[in-house]
Amino acid sequence: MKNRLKVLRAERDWTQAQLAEALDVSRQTINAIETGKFDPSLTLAFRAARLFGLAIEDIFLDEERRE
Amino acid sequence: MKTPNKRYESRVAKSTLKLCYWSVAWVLAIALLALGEDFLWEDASTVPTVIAFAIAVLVGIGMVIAYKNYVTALDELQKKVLLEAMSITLGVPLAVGGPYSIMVEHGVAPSEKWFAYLIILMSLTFFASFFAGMRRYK
Repeated sequence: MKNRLKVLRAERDWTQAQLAEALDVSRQTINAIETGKFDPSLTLAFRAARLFGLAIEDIFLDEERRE
Repeated sequence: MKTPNKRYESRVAKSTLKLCYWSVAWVLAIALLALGEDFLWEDASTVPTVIAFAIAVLVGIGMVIAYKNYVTALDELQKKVLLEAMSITLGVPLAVGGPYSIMVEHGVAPSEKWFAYLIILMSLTFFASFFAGMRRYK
């Protein structure tokens, strides 16, 4: 699933490790999500949305809807 | 953003350490059961053997609980990798063990220490599939 996690992280000048700590996951998980290899659970997606102050749809892109 | 306090890593490290302690304790308990008769108490002495067996089982239960706590501490990606590795580990002995037992019945394969071979096979399968899974998400 495409997402804007890397962009949002870069805007705030955070490292993957810092974002991982904020979301209480491993750095590997953040990297896997950013590269599209792993789709986060709803819980993690909500946590990310809360952290960035955005809606889930603003972070994770629904590719089926876009088509 | 604040400096990371390594909260997640600390939690996983603690649960991993506890799992290691329980695993070592279990190995020692198994060693006590296996070698106790030879080195510590009289041959065919039932009571110490039964006590050693009970210790091994109790420590084994502790190890299982420690493993469950370890898995609970992991994040969702690592749980997914672990689950996939465990499913492969469960499947390989079934796929290999069935034909192997038939070979044993026909006298083609040795029957002694088959359980040890099974444990080794499962361990190697688990490590290989776990590391392959971790590499996939690197």
